[in-house]
Amino acid sequence: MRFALLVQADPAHSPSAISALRFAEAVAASEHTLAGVFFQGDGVQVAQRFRRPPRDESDLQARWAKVSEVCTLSLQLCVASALRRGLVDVPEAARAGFEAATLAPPFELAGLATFLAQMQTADRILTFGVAS
Amino acid sequence: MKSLLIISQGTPYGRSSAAEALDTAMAAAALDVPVTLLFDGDGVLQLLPSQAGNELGVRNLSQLLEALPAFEVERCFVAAEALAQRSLAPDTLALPGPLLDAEAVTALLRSADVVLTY
Repeated sequence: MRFALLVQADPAHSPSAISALRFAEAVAASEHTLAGVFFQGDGVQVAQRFRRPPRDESDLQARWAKVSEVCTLSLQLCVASALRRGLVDVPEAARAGFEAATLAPPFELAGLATFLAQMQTADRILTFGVAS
Repeated sequence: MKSLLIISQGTPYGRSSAAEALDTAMAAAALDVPVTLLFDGDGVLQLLPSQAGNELGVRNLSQLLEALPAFEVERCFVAAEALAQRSLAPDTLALPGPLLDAEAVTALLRSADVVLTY
C-alpha cells in the first residue's frame, strides 16, 4: 500500500510529530511504500537546521533524514508555512540577504500542489496533527 | 481524481490552522481537486461577523472566507451541532454554506476519499 503523510505537529509541542516519524520508519521497514511526506503549519519546525535536541531525546531530524535516504524520498515543507517560521533554503536565504540557510537537508520547500499530487497517487493519506 | 474533505475546527486566531485550512482548500480548487470545506468544533467561531484580524496584524479570515467562491471552493458546510454547543444562532453568522446535522456530517465523512483536519 502507498501512504502519503501530512505532518502538522510541532516536534516540541506534540507527540504526534514522533508518531508520524515512527509510522514512516515502520513503512520503510515493511513491504509498503511512502508516496510522500509533507510538512505543514508547525510541522515544518522539525526541519530547522539549528535544532539541538537534548542528549537524552531522539533526534527526529536525523531520523527523518534516514527515512528519506532509505526510501529515496523527498521530505517537503509547505513553503508558506516554512517562510513565516524563518525556514529558508539556500536560494531563499540569498534572495532575502540572510547569511545562512536555516533549512536542514534533505528537507526542501514545496508548494501545496506537491502534496495534493501525492494525495492523488496514494492509497491512504494520514494526518499527524494537533488535538484542538 | 480523489475528492477531498477539509475539516476546519480551530479557533480563528489562536493558531494558524484556520488560515492553513483555507489555503489548502483554495490550492485544491485551483488544481481541480473536488474539495469540500466543513466548519466544525471551534472552527465555527471563524464565521462570527465583524472580525478585524488586520488590527491584530494577521490576515483577516472574513475576507478569505468571502473569497472562497472566487477561488471556486463552492462546497462549504457548517456543523449545526457545533453552533448549538456554543449557543450561536445561525442568523448572526456569516455562513459560507448550509448547516448539517450530525447524521449529514457522518455521510459527508463517508463520501470523501480523503479527509484532512485542521
